[in-house]
Amino acid sequence: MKQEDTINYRKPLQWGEFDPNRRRNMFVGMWAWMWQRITAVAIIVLLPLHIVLTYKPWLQFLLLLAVTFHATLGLRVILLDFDLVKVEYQKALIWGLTGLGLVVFALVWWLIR
Amino acid sequence: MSTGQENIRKVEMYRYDPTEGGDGHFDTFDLQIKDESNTTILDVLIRIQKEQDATLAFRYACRVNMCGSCGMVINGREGLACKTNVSEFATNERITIRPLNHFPVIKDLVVDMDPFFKNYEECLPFFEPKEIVEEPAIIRPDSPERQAIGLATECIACGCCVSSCTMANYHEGYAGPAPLNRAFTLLNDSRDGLFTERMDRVLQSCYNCRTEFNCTEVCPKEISSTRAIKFIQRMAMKEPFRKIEEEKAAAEIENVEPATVIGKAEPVISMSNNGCVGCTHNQPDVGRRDFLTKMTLGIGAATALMVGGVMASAFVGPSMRKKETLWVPAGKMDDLQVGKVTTLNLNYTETIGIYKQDNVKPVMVWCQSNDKNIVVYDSRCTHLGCAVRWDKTQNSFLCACHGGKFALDGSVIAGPPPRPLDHMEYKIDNGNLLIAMVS
Amino acid sequence: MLLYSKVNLIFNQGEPMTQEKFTTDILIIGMGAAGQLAALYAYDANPELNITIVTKALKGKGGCSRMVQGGLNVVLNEADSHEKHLMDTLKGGQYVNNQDLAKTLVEQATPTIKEMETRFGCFFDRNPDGTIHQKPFAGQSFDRTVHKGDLTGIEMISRTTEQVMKRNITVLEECRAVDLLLDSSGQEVTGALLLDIRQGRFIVAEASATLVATGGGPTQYRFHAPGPEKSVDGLGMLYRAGVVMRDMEMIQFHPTGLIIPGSVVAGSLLEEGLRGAGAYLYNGEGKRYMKNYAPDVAERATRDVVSRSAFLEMLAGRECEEGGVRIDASHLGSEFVLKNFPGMCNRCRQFGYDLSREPVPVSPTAHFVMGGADIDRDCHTSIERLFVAGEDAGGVHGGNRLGGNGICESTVYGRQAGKSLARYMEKNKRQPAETAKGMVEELIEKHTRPFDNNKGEDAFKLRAELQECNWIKVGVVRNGSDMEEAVREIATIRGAATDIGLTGGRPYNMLWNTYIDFMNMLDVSDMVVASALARNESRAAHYRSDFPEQNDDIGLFNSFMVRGDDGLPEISSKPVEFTYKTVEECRNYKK
Ligand SMILES: Cc1cc2nc3c(=O)[nH]c(=O)nc-3n(C[C@H](O)[C@H](O)[C@H](O)COP(=O)(O)OP(=O)(O)OC[C@H]3O[C@@H](n4cnc5c(N)ncnc54)[C@H](O)[C@@H]3O)c2cc1C
Ligand code: SF4
Ligand code: SF4
Ligand code: FES
Ligand code: FES
Repeated sequence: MKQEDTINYRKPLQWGEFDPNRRRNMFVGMWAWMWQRITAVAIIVLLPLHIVLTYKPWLQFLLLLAVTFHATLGLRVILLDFDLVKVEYQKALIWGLTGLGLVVFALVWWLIR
Repeated sequence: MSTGQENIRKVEMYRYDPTEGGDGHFDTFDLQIKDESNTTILDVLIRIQKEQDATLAFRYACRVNMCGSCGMVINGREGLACKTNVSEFATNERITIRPLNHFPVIKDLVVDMDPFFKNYEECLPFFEPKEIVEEPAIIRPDSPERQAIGLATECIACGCCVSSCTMANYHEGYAGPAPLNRAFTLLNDSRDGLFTERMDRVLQSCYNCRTEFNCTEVCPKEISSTRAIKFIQRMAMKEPFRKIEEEKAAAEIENVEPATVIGKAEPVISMSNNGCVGCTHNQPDVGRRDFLTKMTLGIGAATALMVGGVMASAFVGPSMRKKETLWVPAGKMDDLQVGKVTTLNLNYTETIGIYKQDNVKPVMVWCQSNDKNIVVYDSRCTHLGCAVRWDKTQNSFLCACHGGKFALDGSVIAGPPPRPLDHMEYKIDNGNLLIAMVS
Repeated sequence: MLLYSKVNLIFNQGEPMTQEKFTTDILIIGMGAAGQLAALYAYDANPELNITIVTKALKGKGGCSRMVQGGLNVVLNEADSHEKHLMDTLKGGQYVNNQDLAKTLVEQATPTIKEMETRFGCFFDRNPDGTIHQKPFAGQSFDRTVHKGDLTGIEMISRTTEQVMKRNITVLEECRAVDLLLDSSGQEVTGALLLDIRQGRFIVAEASATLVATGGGPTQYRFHAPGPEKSVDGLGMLYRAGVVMRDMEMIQFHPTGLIIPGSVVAGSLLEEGLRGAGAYLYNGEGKRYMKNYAPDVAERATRDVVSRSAFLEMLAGRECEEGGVRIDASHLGSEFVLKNFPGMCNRCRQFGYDLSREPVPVSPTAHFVMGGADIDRDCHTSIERLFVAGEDAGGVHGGNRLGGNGICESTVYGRQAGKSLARYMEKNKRQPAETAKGMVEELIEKHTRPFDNNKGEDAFKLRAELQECNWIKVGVVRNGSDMEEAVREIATIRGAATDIGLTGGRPYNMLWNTYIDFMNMLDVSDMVVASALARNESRAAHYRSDFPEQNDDIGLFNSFMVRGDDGLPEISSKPVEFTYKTVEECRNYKK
C-alpha cells in the first residue's frame, strides 16, 4: 500500500507555474551557462554561412562576437573545472573574462578592418 | 536594534487542497506587521494560520535554521522560511510564497521530500567503515582531506538547492546538488570504505552539472555544491588509471591466471571475500566505459563540428551503447553436484569499442535435481552490490557488507537487500553450461 | 511515497473510519538520537528483527538532538575519569539522581561516542595533533565536551539518519503517535495508535516491544528552547498509559533565551559560553544585578541561579522594554565575540542585533525536562513490553542537568535500549499481545471529537493561555499559593478544551495537531504542578520563594507518580538511594 493511495499529491511545480510574481532565479551563473549555449548555436549557424558568403563584414562581426563569448565563458568553466580559480570567484570570472574577451575582440576587429 | 516600521503587507500564497485536487492557485492575505526586521516568513505563516486561515499548511520544526524542514520559494528564490526576514523585501513589494520546485506537493506549501531522499540514497550517503576499529582515527584538522571537506558536512537536507537547479529537472536520473555534495564529503573521507561503489554511482551524475551555481546561491548553509561537483569531476578523471592499477594489484594477489583462455571454468571452494572495498573488482568496469564513451563522443562531436555537421554525432552516439549478450562457457554440467551450490568463476573478455578488457565474475549455481534443473545466481548483492558468497554451515548466501542474507531460493531472509538475488540466463549446449553476460 | 511499501499494512474493511493496521517486532516512537541509536543497535544485534521508526517530523529532522549546539560530555582523556564525571553529574543534580543510571551514563558514554565516530561516521572537531578536541563546559571538573563547531547536533543526527537509511529500517515520516495501546490487564503495551499527518488517518501499530523516545521538550511555557514541533507527547502518552513517572517538578530553564517579540524564534538559545567568557547581564535600569544574587561569581553562576535572578528582576518590574534582561558582550571586544561565537552572532544579526557591539534582550527559557518515566539501566519501565530512553526518561540528571549531559543521555541510553530490545526479542515470543477491546475506537473517537464540534473554542488561544499560566505560576520561581491557583486554572483550561472546534480537511491539518499537542501539554502541566507542590524546599532547578532554602533533612527524596482513576496524578515519594556515593561524599566533593 502506498501513501498516495488516499490523497492526491499535485505533480511537482517546475518553475513556479501560476505564480503571479514569478521571477526565475536571476542568478548570473545560470545566465552565463545559457548564453554560452546560445552562442554555440549561433556559431553553428554563422560558420557555414561564413563559408558560403565570404568577406561579409557584418557576418564576420557577428561570428567573431559569438566566438568571443563562447570562448570566454568556456574558459571560465575550464578554469573552474580544474580548480585553477576558486569557485568563490565565479562571478568575477564571468565579468572579468567576458570583459577581457570584448577588449580583445575590439582590438582584433580594429586590426582586421 | 530593531528599526523596522509598521506596515501592511500583501502576502500571496500558493494553495493546494489534496481533497480537491486540481492545479492549485494563489491566495492573497493582508497582514499588518509591526516590526519587519523582527519578523521572519515563518512568523508570517504562523500568524496567517492563527488569525486568518487555520487550514493553511506548511512545515517547520526547529524555527532556528537547523532542521531544514521549512524550505520554500519566497519571491522567486529558494530559502528557509525561518531564515528569511520580511525586511529583506522592499516595503511596497508583495511577498509571494510557493512550495519548492521538483517535489510533489502534498498540501499548500508542504512538499513530499521522497524524491530528494531517493536521490540522496542513490549516492550512498552513508559511512561504511573500512575496518572495524576501536579508537577514533587520528586525523589532523589541517590535513588535505579535512581541508577539502571543510563545512560541507553541515548540509541540513532542506532541498533548496535541488529546487533551484534546472538540471535536476531536465535530466532524469541526475542526483542533484545536495546528494552529490554528500558523496563528495565521503569520497574524501579516508575512513570510509565505499569509495569505488560511490564513485561508480556518481560518475554518471556529476557530468550533468552545468556550472550554473544556482545551488550555491540559495544554500542557507552556504555550502557550494558546485565546488563539490567540480571536485568529483576532477577525481573522476583519475578514475580509469586508478582502476587499472587496482586491478593489476588484485590480479597479483588473487593470482588469477591471465585470461588468455576465454571462459575457463574453475570451481572454487571458498571465494575470497574482501568486503565492500574490493567487491567491484569483479564487475564490469563502469568508470572506464563511461570515460571512454565520453571521450569518443567528445572527439566524434568535435570532428562532426569541423565538417559542419553536428547532426552526424546523433547517429554515432547510440550505436556506441548497444547492449550485447556474451555467452560465457562455465564448465561441464557433470561437474555440478546435485542438491549443492557450486561457485564458478567466469573469465571473459569484454569489448568496448576499441578497448578490450578481461573480467572475472563469480556466479553461484544451484543444481536442484538430476534432470539438470539449475539456477544461476549473480554474486552481486541486490543491496549495494557487494560480493555474496555461499555459506555451507548456515545453508544460505551471505553478504559481508551489511549482513544481507539470502535463502537457497534466492529470497531475502535478513538484512537490507530490497529484492531476491538476481538470476542469470543460461543455456546448456552439449553438456556445457553457458552463462549470459550482458554488457 | 515509498513509506508504506515495506510495512505489512492490512486494510480493515468495514470500519467506519479509515484506519489501518500493521505489525512489527519493535516499534520506536521518535527519531532523535535516542530513537535512532536504539534502532541501529537493535538492528546490528539481529538484522532479522523487523524494526519500525515513527516520527512526527520528516526523517531525522525533528527533535532537539539536531538542535544541540554545545556538545556532549564524555571521558576520553587519561587525566580524566568516570569517577569525576559521575561526581560532577551528582553534584549538578543536587544528589537526587538515580545513581545507577548516572553511573551507566558516564561509563557507557566513552564507548558510545567512540562508536559514533568509528561506526557511524561522525567527525568531531580535532586538536591540532589529530585527536578529538574537548572543550570546557559549566559545572565540570575537566574539559570533556566533545563537539563539532557550534552545530554538534547536525553532524550527529545527519550521520545516524544516513545509517538508518543504509540498513533499510522502515521509517514512517510525519506519523505521530497519539497514544500507547494496552492489553486488557493494562500491564502490557501492545503498540501505539498513530496519526498519519499527511493522510489524516489513524494507523494501529502493533509491536512485540515499544520504545518511547520522543524527547520531552517543555514547550508548555511562554519561552521555550525546543522547537515548537515538540510538545511533551511522550510524557503525556506514558502518563496516560499508567507508567510510573518520577521527578516531574524538575524543569530546567536556560538563562539566556533570545527575546524577539511576536516571533516564534523567541526563546531560542544564546549559548552558555557567552557568560562563561565574561559577558554581563543588565536589568531594565541598566544595572548589573547578578552581583546582588551571587556576589562572588556574578554572571558565571550556574544555570538555575542565573535564570532565577533574571526572573526575579523581571517580577520586580526591572525588566527591559522587550520584557527581559540584557546580555552584553561588547566589552570583550567585537573581534573576540565574532570569532568565538559565530553561530550566535549570526542568529542575533538576523534580527538586527549586533551581539559583538551591543546588548541583546534575553530571558530564561524552558529547556529540558529532568523528570520522566522511571527506568532501569536497560530502559525497562514499570509496564511490560515498554521501553523508554532519552529525555522522556527521568532520574539520570536528578534535579539539574549539566550542559552536555543531555545529548549524552540520549545517545548512551538509545544504545542501551537498542541492545536491550534485541535481547528482549530473543527471550520473548515475537507476538504482540492483544489490545484491549474497544480501546482503539475509544481513542479515535476522543481525538476526532473536535471535528464534530462547532462551539469554536480556539486551540491556539488556549495553548497560549496554558503557556502563560505555567510560565508565571509554575515556572522559574514558584510558591504554594500560586501553584494552588495554577491547579484550578489548568482545570478551567481543560474544561474549555472540550469546546475546541476544528476546521478543514484531515490531510495535513496543523490545527488538529496543535490540538493533540495541547492535550499532551495539559496532562504534563498537571504532573509538574502536583509534583512541585509536593516538594516543600528549593533544590536545583526547583525554586520556591516560600521555601527558598535547600533542606537535606526533608528533601532527599524522589517523587513518583501514576495517573489516578480521577485522571489526576497520585504521588508517592521514596528516599533517594545512595547506591554508590553517600550524601557526604557528594556534599564534600569539590571540583
Ligand atoms: C536548543 C537546544 C540545545 C541543546 N543543547 C544541548 C547541548 O549543547 N548539550 C546537551 O547535552 N544537550 C543539549 N540539549 C538537550 C538535548 O538536545 C536533548 O536532551 C536530547 O537531544 C533529547 O534527545 P531525544 O532523542 O530524547 O529526543 P529528540 O532528539 O528531541 O527527538 C524526539 C523525536 O521524537 C519525535 N516525536 C515527538 N513527538 C512525537 C510523537 N508524538 N510521535 C512520534 N514522534 C514524535 C520528534 O519528531 C523527534 O524525532 C539541547 C536542547 C535544545 C532544545
Ligand atoms: S551548479 Fe550544477 S548542481 Fe548546482 S544548480 Fe547548477 S547545474 Fe545544478
Ligand atoms: S546543500 Fe544547502 S541547500 Fe542543499 S540541501 Fe544541503 S543545506 Fe539545503
Ligand atoms: S524550521 Fe527548521 S530550518 Fe526552518
Ligand atoms: S551490499 Fe549491503 S548487504 Fe550486501
